[in-house]
Amino acid sequence: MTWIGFILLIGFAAFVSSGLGTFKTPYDVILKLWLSPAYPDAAAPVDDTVRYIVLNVRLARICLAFLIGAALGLAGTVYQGVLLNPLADPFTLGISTGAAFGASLAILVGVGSVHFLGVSALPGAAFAGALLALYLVYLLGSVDGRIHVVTIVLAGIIVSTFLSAMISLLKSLNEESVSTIVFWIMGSLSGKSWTHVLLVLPYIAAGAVAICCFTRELDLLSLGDIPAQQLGVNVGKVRFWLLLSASLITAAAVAVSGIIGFVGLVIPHLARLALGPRHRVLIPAAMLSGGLLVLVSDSIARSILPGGAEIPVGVVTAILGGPFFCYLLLRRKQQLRLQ
Amino acid sequence: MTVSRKAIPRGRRVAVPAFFLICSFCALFLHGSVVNGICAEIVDDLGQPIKLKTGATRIIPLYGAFAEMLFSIGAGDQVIGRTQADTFPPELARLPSVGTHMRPNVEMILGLKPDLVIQSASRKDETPEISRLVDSGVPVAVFSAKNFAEIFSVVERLGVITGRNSEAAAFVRSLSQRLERVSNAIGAADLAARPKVFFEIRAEPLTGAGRGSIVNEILNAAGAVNAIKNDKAIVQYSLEALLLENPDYYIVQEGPMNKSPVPPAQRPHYDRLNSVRDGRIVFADEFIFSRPGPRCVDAVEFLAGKLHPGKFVK
Amino acid sequence: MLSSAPPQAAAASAVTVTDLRCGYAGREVLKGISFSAAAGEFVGILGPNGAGKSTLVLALSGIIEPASGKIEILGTAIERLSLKERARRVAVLNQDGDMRFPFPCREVVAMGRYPHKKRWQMDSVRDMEAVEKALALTDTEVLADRLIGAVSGGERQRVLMAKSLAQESPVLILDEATSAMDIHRKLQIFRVLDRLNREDNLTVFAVMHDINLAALFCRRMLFLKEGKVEADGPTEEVLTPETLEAIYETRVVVQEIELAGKRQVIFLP
Repeated sequence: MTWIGFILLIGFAAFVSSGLGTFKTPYDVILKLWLSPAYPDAAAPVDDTVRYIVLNVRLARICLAFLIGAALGLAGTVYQGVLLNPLADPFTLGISTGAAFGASLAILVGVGSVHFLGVSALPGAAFAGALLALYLVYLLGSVDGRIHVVTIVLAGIIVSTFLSAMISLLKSLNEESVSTIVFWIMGSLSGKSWTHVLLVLPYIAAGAVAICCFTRELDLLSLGDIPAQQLGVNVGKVRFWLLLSASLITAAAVAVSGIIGFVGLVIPHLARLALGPRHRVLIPAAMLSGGLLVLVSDSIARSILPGGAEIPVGVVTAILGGPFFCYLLLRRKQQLRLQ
Repeated sequence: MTVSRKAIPRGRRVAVPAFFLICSFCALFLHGSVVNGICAEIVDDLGQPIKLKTGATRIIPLYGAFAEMLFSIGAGDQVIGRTQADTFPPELARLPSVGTHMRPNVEMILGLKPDLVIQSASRKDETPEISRLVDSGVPVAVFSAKNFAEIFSVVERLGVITGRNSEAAAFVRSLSQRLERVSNAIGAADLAARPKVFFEIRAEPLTGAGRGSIVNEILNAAGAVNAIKNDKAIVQYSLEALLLENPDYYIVQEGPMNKSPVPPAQRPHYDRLNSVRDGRIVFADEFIFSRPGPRCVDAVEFLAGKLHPGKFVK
Repeated sequence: MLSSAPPQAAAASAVTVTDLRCGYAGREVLKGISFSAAAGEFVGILGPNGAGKSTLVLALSGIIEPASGKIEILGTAIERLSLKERARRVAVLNQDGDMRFPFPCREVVAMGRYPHKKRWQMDSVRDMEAVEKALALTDTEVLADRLIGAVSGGERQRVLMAKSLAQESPVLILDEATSAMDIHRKLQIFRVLDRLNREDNLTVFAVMHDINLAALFCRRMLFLKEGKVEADGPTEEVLTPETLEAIYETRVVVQEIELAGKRQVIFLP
């Protein structure tokens, strides 16, 4: 029942969001447009541009925002579960920096005009950068092909720091393009279409299915490596596939949207607080609430300023997520004091 | 004695007619102030007086547009350095580069022993190098031009400081005549009949030129109306607003800020725009359109030719 | 080697170790160990620190691979068992069971059912029964709905014990599992093990330092020292002053406690 309620809430948020934007559309028109795929007659009197904006611009963006949020929430949950680190998030293993590096390089080299199905090469470059970072982290952080939790987090920090330096180098070599890079890194869902949704959907769907295969193992990993293995969990294999799936999901999301922070860090905590740590419940909850958070944040980002101006969605998620994270920290401090 | 930017009224659509007024003012101020480049004094856009015993003969402009101005008023041989990105006019490219506009290399600048450095900034602390140069005894004139009147004012002040008043006045006159020719050719069409234009500064995220930019001046002078009504210079713009505005022309800037953008016709959603459907897309050189300098007049002529093909031919 | 296992189980070997050598990255810890335990034995594994007791546990539970030698669990070489199959045969209860996330205790116990389940299989009635039985055996029903992070160290250890019992493996290895408990809880746990050992023919290996606790419950003792088996045999045969003095290099007194019918050891200062 709770699940159905939550899904209805997301549907309601999507409905409200599809009425927000530069052009104020009354909600009875929005309702007609929502019904129009099923009943084409419903939207007959609605202006064609309005119909296009609501169905192809706003709804595509709403869908994409939900998907990106779901991806980040999911990946964050997996990272925290696998790395057993409450501060882990989808960007712990340097994927964001890798993607930013790939994008920066593409912006400077100017491959932006290379495009495929109306999507520029930028997401491709960002995705490749993320994979490069991931590979470096794996090389550095694995011992004899096995991932060691502490080592891989350290490797993530090292690779991240190195690639950040490379991004700074790229920026200083071409300071006139700095703002393009900065804006890309800040993250935006502006101008995205159903094509983008179709582009990230396979990654997120495949990754989510792969991760759902391992929900029970994710629970067992919190016993520690050796106890989990003594219970019959192939810890090395499970950890590898989980991290790989979560990383691919993150890479796909980041490639399309840029870096949207806080979602992957805060959402898993929130879901765990509400529903407990069982991953078969936690994972769908983190996906739904992550999706909702980014959906709401992006709606705010695109509609709060007048005259069609936008603010970066990552800023909104940080503003919404920051205070919550402070609350978590204070709670934790209180618990420590009690002990 | 002194030419100050403060005396110049800021106007948007009145820029071209107003310009003549300004010119006459300037001429009043300028007359007799410099005796054959023996002593030169101007006030820069930060309000600080720049006094030179003799006219500047070793100048390093840290912004390309100023170099262009200096070359245009015949002071090219007084320029001894440039920044990395500035390669116009071609003679400039042969001079040594002293770093970049944002991060000029103080050591290299001092090494060239300039008697004047010119920087573009709206605040003194925008680049820390300015005060370091001033501390080292090198005068730094800071200008910030946002419209044609201000560009002309900078040209005139550069004329004063280089001892080339008459050349500067002549250059300003020729520029304003070109602008006048454009406005005459387009005719006094009422605002509603002017084409609505969107000027894309950056494709991702979609960013356009607002009403506070030099681009807005160029659009107005070329007989167009900016589709963006925001008063800022650079505006991140939603696709939705763009679709609703549905501009008559879509201008894509090409340059470092918008490196090899995807052609609008290939982008998702853009097929809804009339300008894209009917091929009314113009590609514009960032160095000409977005850098406030003499070549902005070229930009006006270029754009007027595109927007009003029957009326204006360069 | 003698065994004091019940005669009906003596035929089946639970664990057979032959000339086992293993260790970590270039450091050999176990230097050729051989022993065999029949199903239903209750074996205490003792010895000074660094003798290789914990390494033996890791080897028996398949965490580290032997450098040479052989381990057989219920007649099958350990390397030929899948991870889950091995876990269905051997359960391990470790010393420190800190958990990162606040699972309810019942969930922790249910984790013991993992080796019995296929990937998408939900909890069966059989699973739930095993969990409830394990909770009852360890006297942890009252903890079942509390969070594992909110119970005391001793309680947590009993919950983890229940998890290992829910695993229903015929071989159970305890690695210093009761060290953190008070004497009452220790005895309680060992009584449960004793009962399962006698009634269900559970084979128990208990790695421990508390030689007197071992003497109360283990019917066989295996002493390790510097990676080798120093003594192995029925408790009443091994627990002699001569053996202990050789192993611990301290003077000891071994006393018969008439009331318990067991021996106890006193180390002299």
